[in-house]
Amino acid sequence: MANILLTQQCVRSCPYCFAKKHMADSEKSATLSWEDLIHIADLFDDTPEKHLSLLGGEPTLHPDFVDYFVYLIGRGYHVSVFTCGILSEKRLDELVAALSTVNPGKYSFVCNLNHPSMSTEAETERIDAFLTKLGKQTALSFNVFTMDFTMDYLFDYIQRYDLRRNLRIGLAHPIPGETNACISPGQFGPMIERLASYIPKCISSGVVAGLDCGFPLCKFTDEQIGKFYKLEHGSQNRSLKFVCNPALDIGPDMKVWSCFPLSRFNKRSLYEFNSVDEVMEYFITFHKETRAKDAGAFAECASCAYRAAERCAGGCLAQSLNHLGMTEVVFGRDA
Amino acid sequence: MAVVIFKAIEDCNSNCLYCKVVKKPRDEVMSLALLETVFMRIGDFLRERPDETLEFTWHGGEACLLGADYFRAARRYQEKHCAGMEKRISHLIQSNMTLLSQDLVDAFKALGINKIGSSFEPLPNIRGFGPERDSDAYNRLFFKGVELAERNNLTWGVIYVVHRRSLGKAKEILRYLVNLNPRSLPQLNKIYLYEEDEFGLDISPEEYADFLGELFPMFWANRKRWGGLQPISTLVNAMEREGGSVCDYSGKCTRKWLYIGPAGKASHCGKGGDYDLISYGNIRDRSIAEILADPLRAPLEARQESLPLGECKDCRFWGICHGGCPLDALATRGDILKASSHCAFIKRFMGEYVEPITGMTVNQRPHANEYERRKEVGIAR
Amino acid sequence: MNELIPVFAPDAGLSKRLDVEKVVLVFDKLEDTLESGSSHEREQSLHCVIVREARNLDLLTFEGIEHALPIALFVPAVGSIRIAISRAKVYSAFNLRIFLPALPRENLVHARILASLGIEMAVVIPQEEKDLPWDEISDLMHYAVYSPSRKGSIEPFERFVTRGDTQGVTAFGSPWFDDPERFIHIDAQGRLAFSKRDLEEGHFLQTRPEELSNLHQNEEYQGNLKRWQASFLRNSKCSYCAAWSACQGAYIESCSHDPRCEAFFSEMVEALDFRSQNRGRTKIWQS
Repeated sequence: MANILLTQQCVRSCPYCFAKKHMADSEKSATLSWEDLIHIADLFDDTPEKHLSLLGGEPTLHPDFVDYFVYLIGRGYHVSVFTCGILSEKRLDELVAALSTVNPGKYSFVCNLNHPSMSTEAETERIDAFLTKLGKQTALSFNVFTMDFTMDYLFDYIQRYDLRRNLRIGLAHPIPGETNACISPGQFGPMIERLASYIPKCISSGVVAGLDCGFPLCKFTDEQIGKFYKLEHGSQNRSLKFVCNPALDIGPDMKVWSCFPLSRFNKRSLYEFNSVDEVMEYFITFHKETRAKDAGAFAECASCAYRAAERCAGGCLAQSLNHLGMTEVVFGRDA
Repeated sequence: MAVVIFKAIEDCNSNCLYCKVVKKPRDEVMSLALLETVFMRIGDFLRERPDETLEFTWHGGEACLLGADYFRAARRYQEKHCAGMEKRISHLIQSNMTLLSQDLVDAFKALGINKIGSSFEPLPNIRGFGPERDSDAYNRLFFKGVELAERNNLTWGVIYVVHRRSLGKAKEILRYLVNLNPRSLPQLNKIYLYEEDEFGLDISPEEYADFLGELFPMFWANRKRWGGLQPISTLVNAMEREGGSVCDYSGKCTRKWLYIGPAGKASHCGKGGDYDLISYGNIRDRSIAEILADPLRAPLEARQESLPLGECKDCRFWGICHGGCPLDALATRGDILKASSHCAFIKRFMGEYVEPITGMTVNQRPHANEYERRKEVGIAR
Repeated sequence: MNELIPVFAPDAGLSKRLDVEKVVLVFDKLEDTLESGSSHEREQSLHCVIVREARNLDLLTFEGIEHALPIALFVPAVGSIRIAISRAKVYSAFNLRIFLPALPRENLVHARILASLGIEMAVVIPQEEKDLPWDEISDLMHYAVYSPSRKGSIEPFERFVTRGDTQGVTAFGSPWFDDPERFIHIDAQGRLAFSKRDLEEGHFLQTRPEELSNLHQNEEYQGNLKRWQASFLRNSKCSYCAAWSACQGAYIESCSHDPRCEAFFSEMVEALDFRSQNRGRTKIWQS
């Protein structure tokens, strides 16, 4: 339902990082306070999913991370932690001990695992330690940001640490007005083809690969759609969708925005809203207004029947903002 | 309802600055014989008017100086001359409470008094005993009186007299008085001085308006808490619903009010009696009905007809103040038919504080034709 | 006027001398309530027990404690908040309110955390302390009063806004039994005092426990109730304070050098006005 950024600090510096701009613009030392965490938990208390995700930076760097985690579970939330898996020994032990009495069905970890060549030996060691101890509650996440990507190592990790058989495949999106490593829309077709080439391996390994937001429907062949559908069908975690429902990101300063690539657009304080519905309505309006000005990542989005029928969002909204040349906008209800 | 302002005594144990300006002798106390006459007159009055009620306010001076026996005597006379009509008489008392005793409280209760109207002054040496006006000693006794009253379930409230030394301290003073008695908001009255201002206490109507104006934002922001604050409350109610309840602004005191002094002298009200502004003879010689029908009261009625055609003709606050207190007009302008000097207060307070803050505009101009006037009276947002 | 409730450590002899219906029994340790606190063989019915623990909350176990026993549990701090969070359901299962001192400031955060988990909480704001964290206390009060979330109540704010007198004064310290119109504290020698502080400082009433049921008529008691008048006689700062009805000069130590004290109590009065139309629930013994 919402992603809570506990801290702006991170132990990594991934080339595709879509939080890069947000983190560069933010106060590094800012961490989410208890009071604000309680406010978030109160606000989302009535949402049917009762699910919150903890992000960063690297959320486990927050000094009270373990307490926050245990608290949200105590409030009845299912909590997902998005981590790079690089935790100090002390923090990892603390976390493992705290979770020893918690029902594993109440939480999960999503470990963003870059290719081993991008990690130092020490980093790899910490990741291994994390997956050794908490692998059963961990699924992997992989971000596509170059065309020559390989995913083979992911299957090795899943096998070696008996990780959850879910794989999140994210697409690195451009940050409007900034340069980061991402796939340009013109390369979407070959990129999807390369992704689809891993489907047989997924099937043989029993891994459900789910596509995150921003993939445009038209860049898949019918055969590819069918294969991904079959792969995901019945999975409790994902279902193949090409639409975009604003995800809410909440910063340590209680600013809320919809998705990292859009972190500079229509950012508001969460305290300005009385309910989650109000927040959602605000960002849905923002998305609709933007898409009304620019239909999507491709010129043909403007005349696309699937786009018109809202079965495809036309790629990430960040693409539209790039087209519109928007780097700093504030519009919406207080324009 | 007839209102009797009854001053059986004008002497006081305190030496408050704003009372000291009244120079007339204060040594007389109404005799018990005359007290009995008063109740005899009341009995006659009520007997002839079965639907009439009478409010009997014990004023002073300090009424407690009369002693408990005096009040017990009053009760006896009431029983004797007003038998069967006691329920139509309501007794109120004004007292500084510094002399209150259990004996007095018992006597008050026997008369049906369950509320004491008092006065208090947070600023030092304005109310107090002796030539130095020892407010500390005064306040200690006042608190003892408060304690005794509360223990006996007598409610009490204070009138605060706004004078020159109060200016600029409106919020402070109000807070003090509210803290002192949160259950009864004080009434903030302007000082009335019709003789020499020996101590430099007098204030202009405009200054009074500014004093109340300082409080108005707070009043308006939270009427649930401050709704009973007088006279602001009366003025705002009058603005919203037409008509006021404080005597000064009602325009309806003509045939209702009656002052009786220690020697039986009858006048219109406290102000009229204190400053000898108007005399209706003596209660020894005249019945209450005769005093209320005194021809000298006719100009007060005429005033309500003449002011709307003259001085107050174009005043949009007419429906709120009705020309103000006629006795004040007589004292300050020498003519009971004129508008009160309070006019400047109403205009400034309503125009510079109430209207801008509430966003309402008062339009209660007088009209010769009452029907037309009533149709047009109202508040435009 | 309500009947006064005596507050004292269990003492069968003293109980017999008291002609009252309800008592509050004081214990030093939670486990001590096992016998005396839950026993029904008393002269009077139990309003609640007070447990003044020297140990932090995380070190306390509730094994064997009667679930229905009304407990006002005073602890110096929470200790490990993680342990306390993990035991939230345990605490909620008891008829319990946990009292934390307002200092250190961390206690205010912990009070909020535990309240948000549904636990009835209180913060004790000491009158004798000069440097009180008024901003943080105010923040907690706002959460307690204005946040519509489901949570345990937080005293003294809850009682003030639900039971406070919009037209009169309200005893702010009543939740921690500092309210001479409701509670009288008695020591082991049978000496009576208006508050725990008075008891500790030796300010006793010159009367005996046997007189408790008639204490409202006692002149000394009445005189003590009027101690507030001194502020007005001295024309002290308190008598002009916008928040007198909430504080009555109790926090003069802090207020004399920190204007945030008056600001906080003014907010308290506003909160009372705000909530006076919409009075909420409070557990009976805690009201």
